[in-house]
Amino acid sequence: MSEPAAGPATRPSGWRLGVGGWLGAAIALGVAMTAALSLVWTPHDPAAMTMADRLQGPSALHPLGTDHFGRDTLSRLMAGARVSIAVSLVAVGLGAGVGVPLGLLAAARRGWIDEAVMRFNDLAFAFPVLLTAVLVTALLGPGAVNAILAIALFNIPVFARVTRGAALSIWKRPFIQAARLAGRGRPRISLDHVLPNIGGTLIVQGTIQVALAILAEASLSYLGLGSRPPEVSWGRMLNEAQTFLFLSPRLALLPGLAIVVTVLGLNLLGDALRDRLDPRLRPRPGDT
Amino acid sequence: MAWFLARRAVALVLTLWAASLVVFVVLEVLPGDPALLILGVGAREDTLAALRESMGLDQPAWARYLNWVGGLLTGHMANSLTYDVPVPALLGPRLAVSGPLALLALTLAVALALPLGVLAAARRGRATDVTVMGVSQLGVAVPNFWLGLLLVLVFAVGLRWLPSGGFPGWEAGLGPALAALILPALALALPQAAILARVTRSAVLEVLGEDYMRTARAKGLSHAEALWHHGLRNAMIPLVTIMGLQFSFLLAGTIIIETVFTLPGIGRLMFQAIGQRDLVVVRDLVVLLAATVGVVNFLVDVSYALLDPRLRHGRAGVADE
Amino acid sequence: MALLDIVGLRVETPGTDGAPLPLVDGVTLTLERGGSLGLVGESGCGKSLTALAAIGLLPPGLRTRGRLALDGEDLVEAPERRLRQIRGRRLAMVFQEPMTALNPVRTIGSQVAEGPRRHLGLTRRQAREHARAVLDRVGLDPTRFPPTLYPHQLSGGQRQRVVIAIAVACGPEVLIADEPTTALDVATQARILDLINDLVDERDMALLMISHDLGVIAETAPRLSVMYAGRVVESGPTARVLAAPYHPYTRGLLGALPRGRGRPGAPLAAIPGVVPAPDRRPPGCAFTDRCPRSDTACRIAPALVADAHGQAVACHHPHDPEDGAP
Repeated sequence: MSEPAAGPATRPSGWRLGVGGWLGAAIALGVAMTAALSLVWTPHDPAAMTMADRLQGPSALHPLGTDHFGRDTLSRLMAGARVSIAVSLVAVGLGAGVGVPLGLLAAARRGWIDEAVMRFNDLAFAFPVLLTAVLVTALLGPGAVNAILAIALFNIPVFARVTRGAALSIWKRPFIQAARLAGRGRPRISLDHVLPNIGGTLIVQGTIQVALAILAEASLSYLGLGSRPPEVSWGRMLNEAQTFLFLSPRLALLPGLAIVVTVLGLNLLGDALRDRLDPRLRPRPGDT
Repeated sequence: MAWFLARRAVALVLTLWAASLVVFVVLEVLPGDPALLILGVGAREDTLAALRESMGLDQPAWARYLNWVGGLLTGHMANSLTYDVPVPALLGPRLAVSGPLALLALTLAVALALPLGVLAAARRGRATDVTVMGVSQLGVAVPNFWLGLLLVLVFAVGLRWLPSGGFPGWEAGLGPALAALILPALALALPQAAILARVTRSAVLEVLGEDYMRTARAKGLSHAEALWHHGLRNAMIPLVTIMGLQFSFLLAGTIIIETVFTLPGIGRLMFQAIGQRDLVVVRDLVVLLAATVGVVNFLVDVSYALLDPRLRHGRAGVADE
Repeated sequence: MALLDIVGLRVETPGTDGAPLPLVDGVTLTLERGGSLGLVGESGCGKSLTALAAIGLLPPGLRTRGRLALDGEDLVEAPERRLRQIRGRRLAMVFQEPMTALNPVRTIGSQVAEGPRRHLGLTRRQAREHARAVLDRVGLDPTRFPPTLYPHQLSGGQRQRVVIAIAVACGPEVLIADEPTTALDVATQARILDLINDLVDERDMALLMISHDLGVIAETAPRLSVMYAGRVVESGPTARVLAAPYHPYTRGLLGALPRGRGRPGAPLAAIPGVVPAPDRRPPGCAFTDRCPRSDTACRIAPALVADAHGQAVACHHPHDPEDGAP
């Protein structure tokens, strides 16, 4: 059957991302701006302890209350956003920086290089991010830099695999064949033709990986393997709050909500971008 | 079929061998002096020497590697540095906590996700679908340890139905032991269920568009019958892959969830061993986890072959028309 | 009374501006008991949609209007439960793609047995025996092709035999074959067509043969209807229509046949242009833009008018039968 696809036309056109996409973009932008703002201004010093004000509820002075050392929760949430975003972006950037070239290489050369890259991937997938992170910190000790390293390590095979898959489909296209006949080398073709064509796919994957990295960073710092004081992080705020779960549940709720909203926003944005940018996932026209 | 499984089995052994090599190199060769890594820079020279002696560090690396792998294969592992008992003795009681915990979590995740995902696909675009997808979108964004805290807040602190942590041991009876595992299992399971429900939905939607579903309907089967008799088995093929992957994430998740709920399991042991720089325990545990993941992947391959006859037989074995 | 009676059938999709957009627009077809009818047209003309509407399996979002009756019983408004009793039992369909029409994870025997077990009230064992017999009848000898085989173990032609076995397993009154040979190589095509013809004769089934290939229609159906852009533009006895087509589109189709029907030396008269999309159809006759004979009169849709021999055409400027074949 070659009749046109049924149903109302819902495919996004132009810069339309849909409600979820715009909501996600707004959240991501909001978190990023909060993080940037915290560099120059927070209501209070996030590390300043005022023992007299400990475990206070919301007030005009402390809109979201204080923790067990009397530190301002709002300020700490803002500073936490900065750490979360910085760690995730750098880690995913590093992972992509190694993984994407590996994937391009595997797709361009095939043969034993391809095989080696893919087997390395299989091995890496056998170690989930948390396990990798725990191992890295076992060797190097806890800290933000090591957390970044651990999350980046986990991201390498993800980007290598996605890049290879997308690049392989580009290599089959006629214009690549034309470029090869014109005598361009494989590395040049990879950079000039393949990479621009898989950019959309990589941006989508990157968005989702940043969301995963934020979750991983939170887990690591909850375990005490991530950034160390005086740096603030959402994960460690949760760890400290657990002791006062009975006294002040608010302290455990707020950082968690910050994580959920940020990750949710990035996932919504990623899904919308995927519908928009990733050609492989466009609805196929008609059936049969 | 036999050929397929044999190839996967060889791949499993090779992966495990590579994993053990990586662990050994990373933990015992790269740091230079493992004893220094364990005790720290400030350690006294005679303590260091004693540790080197007890770990057999005077031997060359390859001998230590063979010793270690040999011990793993025969069950004669070295003693833990902090507990001074053989690693197997350390593992036994903890496996009795983590094993049931992981299984319970996986069961919960599958039992929740499969029906919800199928339902969402069958009611595509309607209120049920939008609700299931919305909740799962939220579920994917929730860190499991925070969910654990929320569950404690509601069911332990608020309602006082279940304990907030700790494990009474199986000798306390099935009831109390299971009660201690329910909240941690839920905390592990719900985020995984959210992912699995989404994958289930898209796998079922994919299958619903297949030609053979129309053939089935043309025989007079209803939507539901066609889905049940023809769709689900085909949809399971991609789902099994995801479940296999999820199992390894569940194992890693026990590290953090057992810490939240102070359960004496493998994950917590791993975490503590790292804190105490007990390299003997760490290296054995990592290989054990890698082996578990490898075995699960092998089982995934086996179930592929069971689900998909195309993997069992060669192609077009009979004369072409 | 006609066995399958389709009058003014419309298949509509909700248009982008809310107004329903007809993909099939007023198709009338009549199939007598034991009779055969060909439905021919380029891809995109709505012939497959007509078939899917007849069996009630349109893709979600599309709706059927008009009259659609089996043996006098209306199928458009019939409840789904009633349609399920009819599908596979009285009205069966052979699909185009044998590679995808079969479930890859179930044996061919079980897929054939499913219908009889449901509709004929057979036990599991009886249904299995029945399936074996039907598979044998469609040319899959159980000693060489046991019912325990899976689809991937068969070639395309063999799979299409299984699809046919599924369709005829319950002895339906109407068999709809939607491009049953399009996906097959030429030699296999002929054998599958022979099989369908034999089965139709032997079991006194009525056949609606859908194809883009006039050759296939000529071999299977004494009467045919030509569809273009959702409408029937010409219909009548196959021999007459092929010998002296009235409609410029039918002439174009005939001219496009690579079988040497055209005058020696004349260029292959392929029809210029493509079938317009449903939302781009010109008002009036949809063939206007591609038709060498069109003029302003064609802005008004022509009605289907029959001559004394039952050959009907919807065209303001039909070819003269004296012109002979193109």
